[in-house]
Amino acid sequence: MNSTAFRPRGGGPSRGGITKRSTGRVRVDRDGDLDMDSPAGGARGGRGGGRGRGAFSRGGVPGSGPPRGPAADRPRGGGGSGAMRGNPRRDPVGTRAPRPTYQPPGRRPGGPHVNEGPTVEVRVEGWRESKGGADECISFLERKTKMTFKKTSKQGNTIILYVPLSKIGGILEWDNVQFASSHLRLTAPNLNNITSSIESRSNAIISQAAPKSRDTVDTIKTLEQVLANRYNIEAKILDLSKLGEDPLLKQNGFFELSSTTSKMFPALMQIADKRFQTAQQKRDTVHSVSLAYNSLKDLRAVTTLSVTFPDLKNLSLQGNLIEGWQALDSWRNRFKNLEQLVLMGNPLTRQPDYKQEAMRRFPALVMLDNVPLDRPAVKIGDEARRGAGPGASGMSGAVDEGGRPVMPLRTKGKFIQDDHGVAMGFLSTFFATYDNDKNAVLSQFYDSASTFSMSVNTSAPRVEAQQNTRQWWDPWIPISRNLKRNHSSGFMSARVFTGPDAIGHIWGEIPSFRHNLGNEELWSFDVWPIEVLGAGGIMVGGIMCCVHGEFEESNGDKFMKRSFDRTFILRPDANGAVKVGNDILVVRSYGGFESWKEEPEAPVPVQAPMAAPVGIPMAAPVGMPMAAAPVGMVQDPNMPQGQAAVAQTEQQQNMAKCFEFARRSGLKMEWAELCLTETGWNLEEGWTAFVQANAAGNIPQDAFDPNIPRPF
Amino acid sequence: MANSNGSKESHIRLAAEGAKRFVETYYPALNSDRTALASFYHPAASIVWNGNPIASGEAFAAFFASMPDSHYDVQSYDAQPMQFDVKGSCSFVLIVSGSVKYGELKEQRGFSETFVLKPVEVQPTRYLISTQGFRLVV
Repeated sequence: MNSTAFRPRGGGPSRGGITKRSTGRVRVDRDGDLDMDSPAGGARGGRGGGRGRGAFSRGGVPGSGPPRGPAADRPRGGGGSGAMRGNPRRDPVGTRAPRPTYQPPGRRPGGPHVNEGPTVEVRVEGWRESKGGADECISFLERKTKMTFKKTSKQGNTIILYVPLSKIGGILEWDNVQFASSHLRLTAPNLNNITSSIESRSNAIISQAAPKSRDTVDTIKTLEQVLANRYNIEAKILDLSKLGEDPLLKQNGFFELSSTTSKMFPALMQIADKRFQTAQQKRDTVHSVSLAYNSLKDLRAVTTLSVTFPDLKNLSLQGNLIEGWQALDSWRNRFKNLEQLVLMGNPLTRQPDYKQEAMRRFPALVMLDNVPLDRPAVKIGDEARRGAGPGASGMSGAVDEGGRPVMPLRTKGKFIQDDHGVAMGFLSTFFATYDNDKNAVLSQFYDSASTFSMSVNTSAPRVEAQQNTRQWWDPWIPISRNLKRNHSSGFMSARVFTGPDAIGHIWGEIPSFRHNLGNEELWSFDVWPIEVLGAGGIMVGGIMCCVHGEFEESNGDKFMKRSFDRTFILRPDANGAVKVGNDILVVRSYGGFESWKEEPEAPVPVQAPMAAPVGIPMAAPVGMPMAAAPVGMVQDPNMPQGQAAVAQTEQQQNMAKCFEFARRSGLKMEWAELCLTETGWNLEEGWTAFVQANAAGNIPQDAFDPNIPRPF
Repeated sequence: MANSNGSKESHIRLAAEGAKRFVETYYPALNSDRTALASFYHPAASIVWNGNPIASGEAFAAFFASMPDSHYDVQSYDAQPMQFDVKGSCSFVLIVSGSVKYGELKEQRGFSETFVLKPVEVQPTRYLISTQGFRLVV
């Protein structure tokens, strides 16, 4: 198996963190069977080499179940779909594991527009013999199945639940469940009729795709094989890219005149729909679908994808022929949990509002074309109005209560985009093990191409308490690789250690130190996917991990508290196991842990300018009115500070925004106004629109005021 | 083996030299030539600044244009090649540690910054930022 994306050890997200290390490995068959019913722990694998292409070669997809322990963190930017990221492992005893996918009524995955198939009657019997009534029985089942039954009825001793076909499996599994001293019998007598009528409909769709010379059964077999070949169970990717080049399809005559790709997709979707039977199965088994390079102009052929996989997290449409957003309209309000979308290589991406529209259409999107979206991660409205973006207030000499200049972006806590918790799992294990057993760390995570180096920054700023303390750097200096200090040609190529032996040796040479794993506040982790060169020279998914923290060094009788910065670049090895490509460490004087604490959002309400008594800026420390300038209002740097905080009318505010926007963009006033009116007077959005339009060459030269310096 | 060691060493040196050139041009631009910033970035760069993802070099330059006056002082840096098996040039990872002053303040903050720099295909001695992670750490 040569999976290019990381896979979680033991087939599930790393959850144990520090204390629990899963040891199971995924068992993989090479027979290419698509066996969706196996628990992931004993999974069978489809095609071998995941392919290093598109978004899916990047390995990391945002969000996953967090590991616990000091390194734990909730994933950020998951767009509220955190509940979807449950452990795909099944309960070994049965299927009654708590469902991680419950959504409150009305917020079902996929939303109300998704066709869930015809309604099936489920007959519930046995409740009469119990101590509970019909209503209690229904709410009992709603609790158990985590569903809401929109329609129910009672016929004598039978309660009838009307349930969409797609949900039927989730209900029937509760047959014989104990309820108020009795057992409930759940049956769906007409299920067979319904499914067989669906069967014949789907067979009709499949037979349309069949080449002249073949019958439907053969066609199904071939398509099933194609699907199996293109499903990667570890990565949970269904790779339907470049179907036109598929050898099996070609060989079986699928591209003869009578059968085109446009018919083949619906047929493949039908097969997929059958293969992944319950919604839960689909969620658990397919996170990513690639439809790259299929010459798609619109979604007609693939529109059912959103019905088959409504909870998809990653989708690639790279390299198709999609011209405009209207071609994607049939997916409006679908894919509510989509986190990564790749549209590059389509003419659509040249539209000026491309990124904004993608964000609007897919509310959970955090990566577009492999680039993290600068989407305010928490509450869009508040954040944007606070001035979290370029062009907003915060510059021009504004300071906070501490007298520090206000930054245009406030400091946020950990930034974690970590599919399956691979990186956080690594970090938990790494730091928990490192202090006690460096050999274990080396043998698990380092291979012959791993490199390590460290440098000491002896001049780094430090906390006050350490200001006059001797720092005792002597034992570190002989291996410190501070390139700022030494540019001699010998030094430039020295002190980088490669492979577990050399690295282990040098770890033994430096003073020993211990990390404090008990206090999460002391740590900062920023983790996100990047592309790295993997085994065999192809680009694969890697993960960037920037860690900041502290340790206590003991050297003889001296104990020193130090701060460190350590970056790991993780990559999969040929077997898909997580390895450290680069480990690069900086040690410096102790600088504390205040600096990465999340800064609170500005407390000032948006409507403040109206409510605030004139001349008394809200919550402003005396003498610092700028710090509390009402949100959404722009200060003209030439305006005396006291006045800036007291703009009264909306019109004046807009005028101020226009001035500010013109000043920053270099646009003439009327163009600045145009930009702002088009984006609802939101400075941040206006700025983004401006930057994009400018980059795309859509702003004429005479829109710029020759007297204002241009930003770029 | 001797061969691969030789190539390994030359890659380590290349990375160090690339890092030196980068540090000596990028930080002066941060301090006093913000309009030049976008030119340091790969079109698909991914950037995380104090926990905030920023979508591109262009967006970073636009964001940085609105920062208070800043003076960055690099105090140490170190670089490693990211892979050995590429002919000629290769991407490298760079870690920088230093201090920074914002605005009129005398106060020095500490920062730590990691970059992945990618060689430009047509000009392998030139590198562009493909990944950047910045944190104030003191």
